[in-house]
Amino acid sequence: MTELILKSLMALADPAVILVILLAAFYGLFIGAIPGLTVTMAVALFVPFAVFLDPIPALAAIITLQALGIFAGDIPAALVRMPGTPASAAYVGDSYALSQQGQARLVLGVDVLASALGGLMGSVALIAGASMLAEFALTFSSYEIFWLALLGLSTTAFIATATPLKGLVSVALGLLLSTVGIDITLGFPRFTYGVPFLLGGISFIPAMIGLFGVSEILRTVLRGEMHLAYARLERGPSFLPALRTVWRHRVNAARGGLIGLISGVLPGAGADIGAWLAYGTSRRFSREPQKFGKGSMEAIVEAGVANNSDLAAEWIPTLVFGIPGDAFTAVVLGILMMKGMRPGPAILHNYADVLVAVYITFILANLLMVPLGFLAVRASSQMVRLPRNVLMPAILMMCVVGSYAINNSLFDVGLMLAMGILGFALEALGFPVAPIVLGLVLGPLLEQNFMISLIKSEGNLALFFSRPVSVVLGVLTLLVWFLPLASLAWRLARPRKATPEAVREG
Amino acid sequence: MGAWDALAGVLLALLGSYVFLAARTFPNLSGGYPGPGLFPQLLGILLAFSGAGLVLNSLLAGTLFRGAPVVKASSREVIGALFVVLAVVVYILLVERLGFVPLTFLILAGLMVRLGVPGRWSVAVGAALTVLLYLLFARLLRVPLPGGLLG
Repeated sequence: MTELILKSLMALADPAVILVILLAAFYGLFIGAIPGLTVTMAVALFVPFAVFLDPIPALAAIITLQALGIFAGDIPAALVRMPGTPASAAYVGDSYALSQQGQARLVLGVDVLASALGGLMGSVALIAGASMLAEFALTFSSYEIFWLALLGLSTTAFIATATPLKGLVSVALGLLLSTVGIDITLGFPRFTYGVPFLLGGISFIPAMIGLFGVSEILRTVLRGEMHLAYARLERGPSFLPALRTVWRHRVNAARGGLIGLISGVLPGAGADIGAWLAYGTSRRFSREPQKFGKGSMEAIVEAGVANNSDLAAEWIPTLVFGIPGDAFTAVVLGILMMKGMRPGPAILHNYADVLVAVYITFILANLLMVPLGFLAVRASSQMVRLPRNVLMPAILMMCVVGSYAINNSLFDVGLMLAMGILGFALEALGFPVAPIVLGLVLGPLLEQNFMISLIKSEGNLALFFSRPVSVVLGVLTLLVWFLPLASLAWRLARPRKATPEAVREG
Repeated sequence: MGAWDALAGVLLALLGSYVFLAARTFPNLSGGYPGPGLFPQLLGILLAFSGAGLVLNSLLAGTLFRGAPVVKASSREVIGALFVVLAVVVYILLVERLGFVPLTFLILAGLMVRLGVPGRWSVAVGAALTVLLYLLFARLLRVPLPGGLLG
């Protein structure tokens, strides 16, 4: 083990690798700090570079850009009342309210420390949890994998969205897109309409770039806000006051960390869900619930820790089961496959050196967060002030070249545009986009294990519940399905107390 | 949103029915086992029912014929968005003939002017970004970007 750690440290200490990590950190900070541009888009655009790099620097860069990007999402939340990434959406109101009271610098300092703390908690959980779950995963058969994939999809559809029916539609559309191309049982071409480019299926990365990049460019241009009004940063020290504030709310920090871990390990719930859940619990246990939405530091600490502790935990199901919990780890899964690293319990033995490097990078990136985060806070007003009418064309061309670079194919550029328009239209109509991505990625896994199980059991559906773990997963999945139905029945039974639909970005 | 939900529901129900019917024609495995058609058929049913559910929802809520516009934008902004779409279409159609460098510069500068960046700035920033993209992708990552006129 010590030998492995030394070997991984050596690999990471290479000056070229350090440079890659630093560049990834600045890239993550930059994209995260720009409202609308998500860390998910950042990683999709990074894929051509990841293909070019060795596995260790590629994964190290991705970990760093994600950790710093999710933190940077807090910057415009405090300064312009717009979340930089969906993970910061939960506490935008509180951050901005405190900035208006002249505490922008303190809020951002707390954001840095809460993010770093959450990230470190997540890293520890990943290191401990991955090997534990891997033992367990060795006993999995096609039934368990089928249920786990279905559980992840059901969670995104029903729990992670404001309108479960629309979440379900998004998942179904993603799964449908995953069926395009040569099928796995008979080699029969499905929904290809004679187009040779479609035989291999919908290329995942161009689709992602379209869904998260092009659709956001269209939204920004249509909104027409090219210059954002921003709150001023007051002068003065920020590190010690921020540290004191986080210490004062240490109970919130611990609880937020735990919630983030749970949402991370649960397939289908990403960092944004973790932050929303933590926001809810902080309010529930608060002695000053009236301050929520008007500048509650408790909320910022608890949700700020949660959305970063989620990140590392998210890697556990991705590595051990090959089942990503959110759109970001879906890209990570794609990159692992491109590097020939097949996820599954065996990955921990077969690629032990790469994984130890991953663990070390998680800790490193979150330590790096403190100095770089405070640096970013200093530069934050410049970043937020960047004119969006210059930025959007630049991002558009990045999307075009990035989509092209994956397979050197102009067809993929067209696919990116089509998915961008689809994503824009769906989002405008209130359908969430992230479930489409999970459907697209988990579709083949779900179908394959479904067909294998069906053939093994000769069509006897009862056998899907025949093994202890499959019973637990199956029952959990059914619970996730019936929860929205039960709440619907509850609402229909008491029609008087109709509540306005919670509108939520994500 | 009622009217829009209902419209989306109708479209989804149609898509679902089409997928179901199309997938029924896919071949089966030997021995009577279901084949490539089973999974898409299930998805088709799911989509058709969810679409119907959306229509039913807006019927029950009494908002079937009421709906605010989904996106509020002036015609200027709509044209801007159309330009974004057009830029990608033009890139796909012309990049092999004109080449990456000239076309990327034209698209960047053109879009910036359209979005209200002053002309001189558009040209300067457009040129700088084009060079940057070229160096990053063609030189560093060795992506074979079409040379076109300059190739």
